[in-house]
Amino acid sequence: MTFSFGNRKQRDILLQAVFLAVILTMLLIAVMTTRRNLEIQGLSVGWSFLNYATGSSIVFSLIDYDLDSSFARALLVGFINTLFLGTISVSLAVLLGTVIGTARLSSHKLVKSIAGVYVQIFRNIPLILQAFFWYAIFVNFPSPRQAIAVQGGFFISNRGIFFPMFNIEAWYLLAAIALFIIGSVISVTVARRTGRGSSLVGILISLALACIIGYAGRLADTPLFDMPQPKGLRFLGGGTMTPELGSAIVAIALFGASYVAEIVRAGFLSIPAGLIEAAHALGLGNWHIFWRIRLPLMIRRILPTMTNQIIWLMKATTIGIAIGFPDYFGVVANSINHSGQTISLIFLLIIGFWAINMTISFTMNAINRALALPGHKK
Amino acid sequence: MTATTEIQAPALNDSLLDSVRRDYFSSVGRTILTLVCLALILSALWFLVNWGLVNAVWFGTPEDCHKAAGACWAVITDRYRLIFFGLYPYEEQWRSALACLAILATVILSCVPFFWSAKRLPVLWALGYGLFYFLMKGGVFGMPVVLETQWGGLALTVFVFSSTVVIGMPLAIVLALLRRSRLPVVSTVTALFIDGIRSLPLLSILFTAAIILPLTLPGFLVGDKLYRVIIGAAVFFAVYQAEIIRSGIQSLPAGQEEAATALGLNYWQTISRIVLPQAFRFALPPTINQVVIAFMETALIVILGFFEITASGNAAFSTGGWKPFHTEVYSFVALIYFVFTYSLSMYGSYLERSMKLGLR
Repeated sequence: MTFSFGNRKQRDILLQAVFLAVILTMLLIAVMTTRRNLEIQGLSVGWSFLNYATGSSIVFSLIDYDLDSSFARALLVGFINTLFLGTISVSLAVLLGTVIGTARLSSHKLVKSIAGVYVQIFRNIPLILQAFFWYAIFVNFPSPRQAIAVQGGFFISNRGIFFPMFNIEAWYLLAAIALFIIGSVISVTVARRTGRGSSLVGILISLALACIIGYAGRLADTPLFDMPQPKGLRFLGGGTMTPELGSAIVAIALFGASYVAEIVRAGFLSIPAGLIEAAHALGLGNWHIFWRIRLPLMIRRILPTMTNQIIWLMKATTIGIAIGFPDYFGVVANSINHSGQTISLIFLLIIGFWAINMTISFTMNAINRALALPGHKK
Repeated sequence: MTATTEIQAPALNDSLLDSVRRDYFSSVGRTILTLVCLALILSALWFLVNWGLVNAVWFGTPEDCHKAAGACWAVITDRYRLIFFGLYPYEEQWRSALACLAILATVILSCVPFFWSAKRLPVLWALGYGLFYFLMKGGVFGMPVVLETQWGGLALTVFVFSSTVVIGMPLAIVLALLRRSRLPVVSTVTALFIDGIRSLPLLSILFTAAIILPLTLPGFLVGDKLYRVIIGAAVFFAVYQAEIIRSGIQSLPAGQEEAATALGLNYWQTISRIVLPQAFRFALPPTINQVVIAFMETALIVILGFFEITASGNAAFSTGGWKPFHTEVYSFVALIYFVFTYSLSMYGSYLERSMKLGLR
């Protein structure tokens, strides 16, 4: 068989082979160069460094960590921090964004314009500048000695915001909260689907179970519930939100909310007017039309866009590094400085974010499928 | 039979007073809402006017500002050159200002439909970008050479932004076409590349470009850190923009491409004369949105140690006793970003509206 360039099939195979060869050559050159450069620096690519002690501290950690902890432990701390910051700030952004997006379509002109101004301001200023701004506000609060005391045991100072907190190990507390939320969602769904039984019973059972888990995880020799007490330059007891964490949450939540608001608004606008008119014709009041018709339809319509937005906001948590919050990216960057294991660490960085993205899109797709109305294919 | 109530037809000419009553005070809930909103708006305005105008200090020293209750705009009037131009040589800063104006003019002219053709737009950008580069770098017409390491402030932000768009846009077209390729190997590899980059945070791409690339590239390709970061930003812009162009192409009726083939046009003619011009029309509003995002994301390079406008803003208040007046500096920098991004996004939504009219 002879090759002819005029034969489309053979030409396609040749073109693809050339394309693949070029890509592979480039990759090969990169790998070889890297290996040689690392040899010059006296480093070998591998994973053994993960067991070495980092010798550096991390300012915010939800799990035990000290100078002797390994790189693997440090990376875990960073990963948990990213999940922690991301979950809190993205949830706040979605909640606030939904309210503002709804307000943008209000028939009340003042509400509408306030929401509009909010969206325009927070959308059009870079996130990192907003993070700097909030960080400057947080670190310029009065010192702990002159901390602003707020009713209910809250103290605001430049060392962070101190609040009353259960003395429960973090994992138990998280498990208890997760159990309560999942239990409530399941009982509400079951009660709705079957039309029998009250969801209240299920919610109460999950609350009781959550309390038992929380009680089991309480820290020894401390009261179960603790108020922060001022003591010199520190506060004893209670929980702390550091300025880094606080300003990162505020910045991402407010910035994200302006984007979520636009998605929510577009979702409401995409509902066919006929559906709303039909609801009016059936005699439903405005309140019912909102809760029973517009909101459920809007949520179903925006889910795919919202998935992308949530993934984008999770990635935006990396700006934490600018204000000193040690998220996963920050810890990876720091570990590269300390160990020189560039290639392995970048690989772990990619895997970490890939895992987060996959989890989000998997969950959102599952929600999308569960909520889809039969016969309503888009 | 149920009793029926008669519904009155709405009055034809309701007075201003009536419509205000209907819109704002028709029920108890609405009245409360109106009052809360009014209180919010008035107190915000009251604060802004008092803090930002009435009690503000416009010129002077940090001591003057400490005495006053309002904003300290003196930090801006004292340090505006640092914020705008960074460490660019003082006598040459007019070049930096002119260069920024050149890019601004290019962006504004790009919004004029006259330039929307495959020939005019690249020429316009080549001219604007070239003008910027020669003004900043110097070395011609008796202007002393100023190296990239001395560029800073707004000019550096503008440089990174315009380079990102100039490199990223053609790259995006190539990626979009490769992903749509008939050849399975080519489209799969491109799809993997696009989705892989999209799943990463921009910061990690920039970080890789700045720190990792010198390790993996042969020596002659390494280049300056600034240019590596620009390439990183351009690739990130390109993968997002490629998806926008691809969805623009997909929203074309298949008949367009088939008709072109039937008329005997080859691949390049079909793409450049039939497909891309129409695809860009559909893709224009999201493209503007993406350009706005690219502009805001240039601020991230501050983390890699570049002296762009956010960093020069930080520098403006961190010395000389201006430390307490960070809010004023951040507000000023935010205003610069806001003016640009807000007007571009307003233009984007105007385009979207006018295009909907055409398609209806």
